Amino acid sequence: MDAAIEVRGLFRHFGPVPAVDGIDLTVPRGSVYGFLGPNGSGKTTTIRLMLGLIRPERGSIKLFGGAPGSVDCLAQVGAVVEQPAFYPYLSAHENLRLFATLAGMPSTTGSAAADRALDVVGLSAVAGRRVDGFSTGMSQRLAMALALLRDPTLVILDEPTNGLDPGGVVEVRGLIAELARNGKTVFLSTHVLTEVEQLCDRVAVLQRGRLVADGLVRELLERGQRLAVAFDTAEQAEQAARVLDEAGLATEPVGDRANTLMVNFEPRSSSDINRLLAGQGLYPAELVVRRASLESVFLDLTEGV
Amino acid sequence: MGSLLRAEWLRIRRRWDVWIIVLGIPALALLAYATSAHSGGSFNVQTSGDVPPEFKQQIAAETAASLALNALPFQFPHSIVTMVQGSMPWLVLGSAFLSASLLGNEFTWGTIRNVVLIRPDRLRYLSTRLLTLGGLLLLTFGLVTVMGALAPVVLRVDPGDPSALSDPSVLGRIGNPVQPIGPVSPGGALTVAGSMLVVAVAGMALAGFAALKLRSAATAMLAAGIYAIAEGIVAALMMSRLPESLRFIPQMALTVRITSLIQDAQVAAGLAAPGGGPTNSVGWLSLPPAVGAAILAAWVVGLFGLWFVVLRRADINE
Ligand SMILES: Nc1ncnc2c1ncn2[C@@H]1O[C@H](COP(=O)(O)OP(=O)(O)OP(=O)(O)O)[C@@H](O)[C@H]1O
Ligand SMILES: [Mg+2]
Repeated sequence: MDAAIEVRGLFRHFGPVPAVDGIDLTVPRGSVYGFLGPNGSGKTTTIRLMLGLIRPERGSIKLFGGAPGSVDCLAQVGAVVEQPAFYPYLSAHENLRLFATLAGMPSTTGSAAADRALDVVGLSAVAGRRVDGFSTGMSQRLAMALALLRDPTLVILDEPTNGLDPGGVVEVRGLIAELARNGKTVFLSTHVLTEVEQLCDRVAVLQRGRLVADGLVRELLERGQRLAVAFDTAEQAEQAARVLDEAGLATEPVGDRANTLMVNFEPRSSSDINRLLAGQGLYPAELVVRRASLESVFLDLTEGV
Repeated sequence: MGSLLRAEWLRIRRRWDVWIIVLGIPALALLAYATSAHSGGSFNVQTSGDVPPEFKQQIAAETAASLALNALPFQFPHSIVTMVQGSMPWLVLGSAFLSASLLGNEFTWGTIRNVVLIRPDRLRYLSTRLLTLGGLLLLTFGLVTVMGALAPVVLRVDPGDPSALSDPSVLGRIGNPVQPIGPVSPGGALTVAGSMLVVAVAGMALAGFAALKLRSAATAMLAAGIYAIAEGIVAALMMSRLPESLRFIPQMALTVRITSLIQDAQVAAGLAAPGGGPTNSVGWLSLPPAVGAAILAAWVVGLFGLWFVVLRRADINE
C-alpha cells in the first residue's frame, strides 16, 4: 500500500536561506502525523510544497502516488494553511458555497455540503453573517470547515488551533481524533506539543529546514527517558556513578538529593542496570523510569543545533 | 468552465463596487449628456443699437448655422459618440479598476490560495476571470451605447436647419468650421465608440497585469497610472529629441497609440479633419491607421498574455 504523502529530497530556498533543506518524509495512510519545529523552521513552506502552491527546486512529492497540485490529488485533500482567507463581503455559507461550486458541486449539493461543514465546526448559528465581522477563532473554524468541505481522505492542517479559545481547542482536537477514527490521514503542523502527544501516532521535528527526528511518538518519548536510581546513602550513589561511568552510561546527580542518580540508560533496560550494580555489591533502594515529556525532547532536539 | 463561471457570479453579485461601476458609468454619461443637450439647443447673439440690414442677414445666417452645429452631437447616430465620449474617462478608469480589483483582491484576501487548492488549473481560472471582466465592460459599454442611441428620442434637441451649415457666407466663421460638417453615419459613430472601447480594454489589460504582478489592487492602480503618465512624458520627449529616422520609436508607446487610435477613428467617421489632434505634436510621425491599430492590438494581446505568464508559475504565498 502506498503512502498518503511521500516526500524525497525536498529542497526550496527563498533568497540565500534554504527554507526546506532536503526533507524525506513518509506519511502512512490512516496515520495522524505531527509536524513540529520552531518558528521559521520551514513547516508552512513544506506544506505549501505538498499542496503545489509553490514548487520545489529539487526533490519530489507524491500525494497518494500522484503529483501535488493535480486535480485528482487535491480532490482528496483538505487543507488549512496559515491564516484563513475568505471573501470578506460574503457570509460564511456563501463563501463555502462558492468554493463548493468551484469544486464542481451542483448548487443544492454544494449548499448542503456547506451546511454540513459549518455544523461540524460549530458555526451554524453564524452561517449567514459576513465573514469580515468574524473573530480570529471564528475565521479559523471556517478555514477548518473549508478543509472538510469535500470530505477529504487526507487533511493537512497548519496550526489549526491558532487563535481558538480553550473550548475551541478541545473541539478541534476532538474533530481531529474523529477524523483519525474514520480512517482519514491527518498531517498536523503545530506548536502545541500536548496536541501531538494526545493526537499523533507519528511525529517529525524540523529544525532550520532539516528533519532532526522522525518516527513514532512513543519511540521519541522513550529515547528521552531516564532511570532514577536511589540508594540508602550518598556514598553508595557516588560509587554507583563510578561503576556506571566505567560501563559507558551517562549519569547526572539530582539537584538536592545526593543519594539519587539519573541514568541515561537507553538502549539498555532497567534490569540490566540493576544487574550491573548488584554485581558490584550496590543494591538500589528504588528504580524508577522517568518518562520524558515531548517538550523536553523537543527542546533537546531543537536547541543549539 | 461552467462551474468556474457560476462561481464568478457568486463572487461578483454581492460586490457593490462592481455594480456601482457598471451602473454608475452609464448614469454619469447620461448626466453629462443631458447637461450639454440642455445648452446645445440655444444660441444668442447680442447686438446693440441699429444694425445695418446686411449685417442682420449675416447674423441670422450665423445664428442658424451655430444652432445647427451645436445641435449636431445630439442627433442620432452622432448622439452615440457624444454619450460614449462623455463616459470615456470613467469607462477607462472603471475598467482598469475592475480588473485591478477583481484580480488584486484575490491576493490581498488570500483567497487565490483556496481557489488554486480547489481548481489548480490556474490558466483556466484566469481565462474565466478575463471573460467576467470582458462581460462587465461590454455590459457597461453596451448600456452607454444604447443610451446614446435612444437619447435623441427622450432629450430632443432641435436640429435647426442643417442646410444653414453649408451656407457659403458662414464657412470658416463658426465653431470648428474648415472641415466639411455633416451628419455621421451609424457605422462612423460605432467606429468612434468602438475605438473608445478599445482604450478601456487596454486600461483593463495594463491594470490587470500590474495587479497580478504586484498582488494588490491599490498598488496596481497606482502603478498603471504612473506608467501611463511617465510613458506619455517620455514619448513626448523622444518625439521632440530623436532624429527623424528614430521617430517611429515613441509611436510604439501604448498611450501614443491610444490617442491616435481615437483620432484615426474620428477622422474615419468624418468627425475630425486629418492632421489635427495629437498629430500636431512636435515630432509626430503619422502611421497608417491599420499599422497603428495593429501595434495597439499587439500591446493589448501582449499584456493579456503576460497575465497568464505571471500567474502560471507564481508562488502562491498567500
Ligand atoms: N515567500 C517567502 N519569501 C521569503 N522568505 C520566505 C517565504 N516563505 C517563507 N520564507 C522563509 O522561509 C523560512 C521558513 O518559513 P515557514 O513559514 O515555512 O516557517 P514555519 O515553520 O511555518 O514557521 P512558523 O512556526 O512561524 O509558522 C523562514 O525563514 C521564512 O522567512
Ligand atoms: Mg508556519
